[in-house]
Amino acid sequence: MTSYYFSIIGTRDNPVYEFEFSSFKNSLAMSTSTSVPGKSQFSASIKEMLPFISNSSLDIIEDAQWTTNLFYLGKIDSFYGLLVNAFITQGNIKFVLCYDVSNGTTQKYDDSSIKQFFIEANDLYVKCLLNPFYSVNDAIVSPDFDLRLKLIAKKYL
Amino acid sequence: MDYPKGVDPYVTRQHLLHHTYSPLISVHASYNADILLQSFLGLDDISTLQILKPYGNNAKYTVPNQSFKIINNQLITKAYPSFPVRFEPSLPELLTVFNATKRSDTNDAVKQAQLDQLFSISSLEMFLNHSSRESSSQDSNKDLYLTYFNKIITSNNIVPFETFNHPIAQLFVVDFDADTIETLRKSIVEFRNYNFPRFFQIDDLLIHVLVMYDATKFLNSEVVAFQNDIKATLNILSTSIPINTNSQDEPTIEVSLIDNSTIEEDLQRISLQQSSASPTNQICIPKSLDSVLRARIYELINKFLIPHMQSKIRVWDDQILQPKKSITGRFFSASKKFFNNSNSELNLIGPSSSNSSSFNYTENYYYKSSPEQTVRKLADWSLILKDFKYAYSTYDVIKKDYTNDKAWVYVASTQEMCIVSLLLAQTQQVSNNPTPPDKNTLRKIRHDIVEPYIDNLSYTFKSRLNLKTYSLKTLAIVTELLLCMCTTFSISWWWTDLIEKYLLKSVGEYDAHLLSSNQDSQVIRAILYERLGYSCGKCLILNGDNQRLLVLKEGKLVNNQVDAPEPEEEGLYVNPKKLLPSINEGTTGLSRYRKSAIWYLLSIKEWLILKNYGQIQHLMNNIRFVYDIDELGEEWYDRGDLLLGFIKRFMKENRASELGEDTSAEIVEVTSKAATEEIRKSIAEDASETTAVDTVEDDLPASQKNPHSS
Repeated sequence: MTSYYFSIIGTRDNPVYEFEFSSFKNSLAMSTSTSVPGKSQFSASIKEMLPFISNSSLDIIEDAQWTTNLFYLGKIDSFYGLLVNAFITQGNIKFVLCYDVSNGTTQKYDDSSIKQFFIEANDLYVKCLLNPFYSVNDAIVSPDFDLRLKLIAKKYL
Repeated sequence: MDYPKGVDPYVTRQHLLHHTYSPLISVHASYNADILLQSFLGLDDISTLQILKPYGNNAKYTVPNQSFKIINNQLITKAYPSFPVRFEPSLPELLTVFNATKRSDTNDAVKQAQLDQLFSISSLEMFLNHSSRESSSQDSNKDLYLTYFNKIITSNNIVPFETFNHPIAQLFVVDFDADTIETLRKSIVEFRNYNFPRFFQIDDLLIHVLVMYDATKFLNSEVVAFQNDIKATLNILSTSIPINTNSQDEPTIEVSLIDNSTIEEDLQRISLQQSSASPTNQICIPKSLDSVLRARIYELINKFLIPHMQSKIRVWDDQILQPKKSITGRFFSASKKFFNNSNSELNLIGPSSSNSSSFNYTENYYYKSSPEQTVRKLADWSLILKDFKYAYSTYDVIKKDYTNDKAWVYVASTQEMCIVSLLLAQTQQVSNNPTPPDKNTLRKIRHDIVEPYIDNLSYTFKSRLNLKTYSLKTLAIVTELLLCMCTTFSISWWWTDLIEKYLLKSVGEYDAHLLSSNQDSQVIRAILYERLGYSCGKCLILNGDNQRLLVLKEGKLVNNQVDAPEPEEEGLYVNPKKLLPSINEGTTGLSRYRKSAIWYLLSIKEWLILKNYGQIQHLMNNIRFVYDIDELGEEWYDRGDLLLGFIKRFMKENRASELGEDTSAEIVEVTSKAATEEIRKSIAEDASETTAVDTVEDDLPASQKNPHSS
């Protein structure tokens, strides 16, 4: 089971939304284990680093954004055994997904499913942005956004 | 712009040249000479070697108008402001120490027992742990990375496959009064008859005599006559050192005794100091002796050592290297190869000594007079004489021979020296405005030399020979030289990922080694993470001129915005929600400060476990442009469950508790409780700014008092 950490980072490097989860794909096979499906399994020492890892990858994202005209930047960084994929929106909002590969899973990291996840997350984000009571760089607290993002995560990752 | 703070790679490069790639002079002092110096200085346990040792570093102990002229093989003369040498005990002594540790192993696995580790990783960790505590308790804010680097590159292990630790000169120190030519002759004969290892060529040694005499008792002319006698009977040149015993009252100069010591020596010293009450890292030397020593060592190097090396290099170049490079030489070696292949069955049967190569496979060395050993020495010596380009081409030539002979340890060491000499040549600053190498050169350096050689040599050292400390040393040296190259030409974009990779590789190896012996490599890890932070922080993908475009402000490196424009006209509507560009909009993506900050955070985390507040305070300054470090605010990184928030709270508590102690100490003076409250409040207010409190408890880290002192 791969654990994921997804964050949306505003234009001032401030995280506006964070979400930790793990893949549901193999959860049925591993139902014998005590872990709750969908609960991330980052160790405590990684957990306290996660926002910093996504923050530090911004340096690379900002560098990589000039080299491609796509919004999806692909795998841009690896840190401490975590891989980092990123997506940048038209409004200079960054989506960062950190996930670990060291958990001994045989699952192939399908780049395209991460890409799909980002694209749909972007759709959701745009809908959230359309809300007149929401302004850029505010924390996203809408429970509906949260629920829908989790559904996307379950679908693709 | 000095952010982040750390050791300048040029300093480490300098240290590398001073402590590793410098000529080694072994010293044999007669008993009487030791006695003379001891009685003069009034110290019982000092040896001549200990006094000479610091003066080897003539970058620190200079003479006026010091310049060392070196003529290279193309007969171009260059003058250098310093040319340090290392004084070490005489070769038989070094070898006895070396053999004593080696012989304790049983005779099976001869090959493994032949080569020792360069240093012990656990001692390194122990030593660094000690010095980290020392540096936080004393007022010296010395950089731990430099300590680490110095310890790794300093060694006096004598190995067959590199000749930097083979003495170039042998000094015999005698006392004019008590020693006669006969005793001198005896000790020289004894020295010559010593059973040297078969890879060491004693004929290349420069033998020289230092004559010490009491200037108040003897005339200079008498000593000159004695020197002429030595020359006539033994055919050895000598230098005289007058000691003015009347000069007891004149001002003295403090000389450090701990320059250029290896890890084991340091640990020994520390444990000795802890057992005895008198820590002596310094000795006082009278001014007159000091100036004499400086002048005579300068003369020794300039008049005897450098010419000796130059002439040897020229001879070797003429007799061995040029024939090898010539067309006939190539043809000959090719035919030899061909001939060998056809006779390979014969060679398999016959003992290895009848093999055409002079490589001894069981004990891993080339015989001292073999051309392979000599060319290696030639390359090493020309590197010492700072002719890096010539050294590189020589290493490159000899590497092929080693590969043909499957002399792996020689191959690995020569590959290391190829990279080192190449990078030294690249970073030798000729002009103030160096032109960076073009892309093809860079590509060649990286993809054809640095990367494959490093992979190859760390494989050889680790898997073939089980000598991972050698590969760790190489990684440390190469990363520093790459950093040098980055700063010289501002080409960080080209090297940073490689530097990161090599540093992480070292971290992994230290971890793996110490885990197997149930230790933790915390201090080493913290130091290497700090270096990673430094290398990322110095990575600016901007040319020299454009670097001024970067606006650095504390705590707001990236998300600092330009000021909102004033409404130009009355009634003009300004959208308060409009996003303003950040100050560094123009340089977006061209710096790696956030990346650097995370490495510093990881380093701080290690120090946090070790409770070394001085180091934490020191490192916090290196992230102050990315995160606001002074106060706990509402920013995301100040959350209690995140590392930085945790660190800040921890430091705050620590500071509060220490300030509490301080104020309780002040209570005696102030007496009024209300007054102490006031002081405490005012201190707490600007505690984040500065913690300069008048009365400082002993356990308050020194660097915390003065965070900007480094």
